[in-house]
Amino acid sequence: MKMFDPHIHMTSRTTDDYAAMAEAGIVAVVEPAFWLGQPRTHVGSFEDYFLSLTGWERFRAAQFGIRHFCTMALNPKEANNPDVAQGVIDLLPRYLEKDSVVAVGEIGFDDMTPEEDTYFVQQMELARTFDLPVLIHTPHRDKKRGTEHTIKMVKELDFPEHLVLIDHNNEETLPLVLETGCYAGHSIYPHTKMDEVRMAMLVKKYGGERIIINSAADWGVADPLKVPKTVHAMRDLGVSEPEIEKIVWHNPIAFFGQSGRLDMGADSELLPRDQRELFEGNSVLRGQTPVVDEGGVEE
Amino acid sequence: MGSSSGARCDALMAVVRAHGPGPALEWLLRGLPAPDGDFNRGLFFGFFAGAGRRFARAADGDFTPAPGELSALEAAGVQVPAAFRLSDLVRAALLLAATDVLPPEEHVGLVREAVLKGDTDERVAALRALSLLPNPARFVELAIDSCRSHVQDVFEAVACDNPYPAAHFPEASFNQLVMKALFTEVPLDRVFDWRSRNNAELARMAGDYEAERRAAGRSVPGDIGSIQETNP
Ligand SMILES: [Zn+2]
Repeated sequence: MKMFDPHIHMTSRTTDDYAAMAEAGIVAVVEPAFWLGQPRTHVGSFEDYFLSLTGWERFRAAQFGIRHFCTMALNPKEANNPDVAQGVIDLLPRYLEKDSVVAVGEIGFDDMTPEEDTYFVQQMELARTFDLPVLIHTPHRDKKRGTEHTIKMVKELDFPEHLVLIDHNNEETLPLVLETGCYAGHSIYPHTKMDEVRMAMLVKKYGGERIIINSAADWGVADPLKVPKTVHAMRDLGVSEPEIEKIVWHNPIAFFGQSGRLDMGADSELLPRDQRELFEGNSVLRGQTPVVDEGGVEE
Repeated sequence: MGSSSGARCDALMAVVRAHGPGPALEWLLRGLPAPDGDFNRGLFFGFFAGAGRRFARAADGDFTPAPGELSALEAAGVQVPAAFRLSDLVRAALLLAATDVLPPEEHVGLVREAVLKGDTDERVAALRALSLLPNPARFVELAIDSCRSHVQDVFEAVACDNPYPAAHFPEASFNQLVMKALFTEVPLDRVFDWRSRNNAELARMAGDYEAERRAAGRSVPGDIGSIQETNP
């Protein structure tokens, strides 16, 4: 079964991860712009990060056959850093217009401060201006309140709900999101947030409509194969194949496809690999024999 | 818009409106700086960047202005209209509209940012637009520096089918541009009005290059002869 991991921070993962993901059936990923584990001290580091999301990382993914898309935003944590926040907002429009950018995100709430509100509203307006859907992160602490606040803001702004993906849901928050027209994302983590079996039980209870799952793997302890592992868990609990396929393939494509920029190729298969290719003179290889698939073209 | 930038912008936009895809036009009109609106620099560069994807792929391939449109563009100061893709016209219109609303001391900084932070297509479009902007001599350093680019499309945006260098480059820079055109096998016909800027030093440089090529047993570009023949 072909799969899509619509939330994974590949910049902090290895080439082994890319190879294992492709092997397990993951054809495409969305990498949301987020924080780096420590606060950035100036706007320029965001700019280089944004450039790497549309440049080197996209190239690196393609070297393993995976289609890489990304979302761009000032993340909720750093919305609270006055040294960078407004500067990043000023920088964003130019990056929001890049080809592989398929949403504004992740925006949302961390500490639920007035600053987070301000930049949430500004970035929802940017999404409107540049015709993009939005990916909204919900907080780890006080999650239910954070989700309610998110939904209230989306409604106040009169933002089209089918263009909103509210992420990191759990048993408490999913019913709230499903009452709206928003998509509901779930991050399947080794120990926190949500696990495979709980996720499969949620699908048994609520069905697959507007349900999305992801690994949210980043630089912490995480598992980039959580989407395929959750597919197994859903099968074990008797979720039908079409329902599973809807969740791990059709739903993310329908959601991010609303950007008009989700280029899945003619066949939506893995990209043909050509590891002879270079990105600005740089290769992912370190002396290995390049893998070249049938149909790989040297540019 | 009453100023010359404004009138020029209107002339370009008339062609853009006739050829641009509907949704892209609707989007562009939200971002075109207006004299009575607030100028938001961040948003401006979003629209400047997005003009590429939204207009280029939709229409550049089959963008052929009608004869009447070509003469209208020429009348508005576009001396080589054929060098402009539809997205280049859109980006030129955006820069014109911005210079129409910004104080003159901010023009160079704005255009510099468009060139230095843009991708190749954005650079090309901004450089093609230079001679249309108010008081174009102010952009000469930017144009000279762009000629040093190792990206051939960027070099050619200044060097080829662009009236800017012949009108504004000092002699030494103009000579460098012509020599780089010879080195990169760009036909001199594409260097706008080069004959009016031909000079003894350029003829000497071309002669030395010819001698070097002959000594190495390599072919000599025919354009070297025309430089020497037409040297005043
Ligand atoms: Zn994340």
